[in-house]
Amino acid sequence: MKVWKMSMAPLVLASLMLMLLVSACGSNNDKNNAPAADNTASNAKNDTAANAPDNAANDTATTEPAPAAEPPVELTYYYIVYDMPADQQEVEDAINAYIQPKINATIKLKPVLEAGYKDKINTMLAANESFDLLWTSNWGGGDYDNKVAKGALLPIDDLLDKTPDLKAAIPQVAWDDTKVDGKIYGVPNMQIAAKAEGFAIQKRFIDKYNIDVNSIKTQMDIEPVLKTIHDNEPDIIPIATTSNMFDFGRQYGYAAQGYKLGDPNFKIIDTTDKPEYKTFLDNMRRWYTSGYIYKDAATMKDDQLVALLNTGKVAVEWNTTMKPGGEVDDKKRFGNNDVVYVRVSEPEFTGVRATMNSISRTSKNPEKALEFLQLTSTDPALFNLITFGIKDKHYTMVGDNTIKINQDAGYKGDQGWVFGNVLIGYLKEGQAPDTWERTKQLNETAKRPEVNGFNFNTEPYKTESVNIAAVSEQYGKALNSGAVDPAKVLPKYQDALKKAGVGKQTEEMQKQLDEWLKANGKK
Amino acid sequence: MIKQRKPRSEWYYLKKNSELLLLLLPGALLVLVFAYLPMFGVVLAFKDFRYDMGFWHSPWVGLDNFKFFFVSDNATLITRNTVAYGLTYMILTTLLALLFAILMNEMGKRWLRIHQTAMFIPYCLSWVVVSYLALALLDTQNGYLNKVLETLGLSTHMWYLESAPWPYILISAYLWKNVGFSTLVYFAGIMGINQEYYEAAKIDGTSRWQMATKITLPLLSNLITVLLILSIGHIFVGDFGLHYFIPNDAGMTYSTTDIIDTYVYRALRVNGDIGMSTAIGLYQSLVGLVLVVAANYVVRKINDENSLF
Repeated sequence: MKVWKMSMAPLVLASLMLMLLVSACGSNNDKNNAPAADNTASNAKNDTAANAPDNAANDTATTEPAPAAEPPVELTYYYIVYDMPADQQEVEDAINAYIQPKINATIKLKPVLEAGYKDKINTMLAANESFDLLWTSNWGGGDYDNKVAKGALLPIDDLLDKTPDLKAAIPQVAWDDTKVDGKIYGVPNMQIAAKAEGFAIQKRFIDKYNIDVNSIKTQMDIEPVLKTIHDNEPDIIPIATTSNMFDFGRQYGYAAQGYKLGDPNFKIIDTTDKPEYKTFLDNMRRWYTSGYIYKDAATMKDDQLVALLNTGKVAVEWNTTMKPGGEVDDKKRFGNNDVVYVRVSEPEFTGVRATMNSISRTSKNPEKALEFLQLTSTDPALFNLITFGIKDKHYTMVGDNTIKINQDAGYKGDQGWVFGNVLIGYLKEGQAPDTWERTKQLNETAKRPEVNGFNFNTEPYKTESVNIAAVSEQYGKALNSGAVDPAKVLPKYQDALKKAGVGKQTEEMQKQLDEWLKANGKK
Repeated sequence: MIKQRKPRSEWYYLKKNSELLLLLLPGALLVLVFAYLPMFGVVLAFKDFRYDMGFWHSPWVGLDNFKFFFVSDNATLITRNTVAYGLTYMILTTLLALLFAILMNEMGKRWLRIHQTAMFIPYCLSWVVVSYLALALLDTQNGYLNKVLETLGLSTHMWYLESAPWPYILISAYLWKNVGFSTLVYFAGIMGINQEYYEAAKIDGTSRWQMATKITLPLLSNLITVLLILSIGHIFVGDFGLHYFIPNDAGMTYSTTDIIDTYVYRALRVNGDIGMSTAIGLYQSLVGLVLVVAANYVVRKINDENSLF
């Protein structure tokens, strides 16, 4: 009897678990199916509502067979936002009313706050959730390379043949830039692709202290300006953060790949081993101890920086884009204070990977998804709707193609660069009428980097890069913002990087670069 | 009229204890869903997971996923931090909770309630909330602590840029938040002790100190060991919320605040590699399992009654 009991217990338990498992899966499926059914029902409703005027107009033609026999498709689109728009639903309804007759699809917009964008998308991919479109990029949460490497995105080369307008609307050089191993995984959003670096300075201080902006020719020339502001304006923070000022050393003669421009050997040097980096850190330390840099710069998070700028108490910011007409955007960010751009480097073509839209591998309707992207890239009406919202509610026309965003309304994100081709959109009040022409011209004429079109494949040094990233987070920001003494901390940083495998990473990068250079006859 | 006791069937016991078993059900379900079902995912620790190939078809990579953690020089530092913090939390919580529980036992009813509530409230707060309280204390420019130091004429600190003070800060925060709960558990244990022991002791003229050490503690030892064995399994799984939010994820504090959980989170936030995360999760679980079994073995050697299994 005893023996029977002992052997039975696990069996009973196991079967119980199995039952639970099966029932859990069953109910899950039910749940998944239910909303789908709901959606088609509500779509049908939308359908009749949206087509109602058309039907009335075409009343005489009702004898013809209905053109769209197949039910409309619902697309889901995840993208980054910095502020949740209050009137999201309203704008979405307007978009659906507009696009459904055109592509027989509706779209469900899923904005995700910047801070959690990458985590959210990765979680959804891990859960194998079905969705159609997602915003990607080579910075922040966009994570393009990695998502391609992990097979999360759909290659769209073949699909593009079915959307010729889209293919034609974007120059070939841009398509080439998105390619990984010869395949396109993203539709680039046309915007400024040539970037210069420089300072954004609040105009009121330039006027008050007669600052000669023409004398600022290099990064370090800003120091006297910071000193003036620090000495005379006790309530003003001269500069909020300097953590992005060195980066890979563009201002100090380095290419983004890490070699010194003009070096015939294209030898890649890790940032921390560049002699200019040490000098830069010493300068930042001096700025910090002199009180030019915000005291909490080293521990400040992105959203805290935005809030700080918004108070209008920050005089200067390092800007890594310097796009035409950008002063208007920055005025808003600086708490409605006018800013002046002072460029310290020539514009250089930095590629189009900064903002793209990709199609998820889990998409059930990739053709429709691409048709939607075709519209955001070629149809100004849709682009303006998704970017600026509804006319006379979220913005008002103040010129032929110029609008004023209603800051009190619920759709003021102004994020055209996320959705599509900003060059077909409206201009904002204060932007010169030729802004888009200048942007196009800049994109075409800007200096091309020597190794234009080369991108590293991170897969072979994945193990090292994970550890290096962790080390950089530990030391980088504190050093770059001058909060710690570089004489003590930089050697520790270099040592930690070495142990994390930076040598192997550099070696692998060099190998890839050399191969590319050889293949392209540059070495 | 004493009947001969027959061996009862399984059903009899199931029926007899049905109400208790029903109470167990939600907990059992929770464990099943969140601990047993995801266990199949362990396979991913040995695969290079790709979304397009999925769970079954992603290629096997052997132990490659474990490499990134063990090749880094940080592995020893972080493992040391994790274990040292885990042990310190466990020992200090147990000692303090026992002390408070015994003190509470000596208290009048009204005071007892106030103390219970005051100590228990922090346990319900999330670490994110606590991190803002900590920021208010430790902020470089406007923090209370620096203001106090300033008025006392002492030198101020940039807390989030120094590593030395953090062990004290983290341990204080942990105790502040968790001692209340453990105290209640031990207090409940004390309430369960038969009052007759104390009455008998009083008649014999025993002092309160002697009652605590000679009656309360020995009778609680069973509960203490069970709780200790259970928490030993958690030593290797650090308190992510505490170690991530309280130091504000500030780089310069990592050398004394970083534990396996925060390191892995930070390292993998960069590339979202599921295989590597799973590998570290598996490593933590294995060490946790070994610790629990070992602790239980030791306890069984000393006193079989107190062991868990």
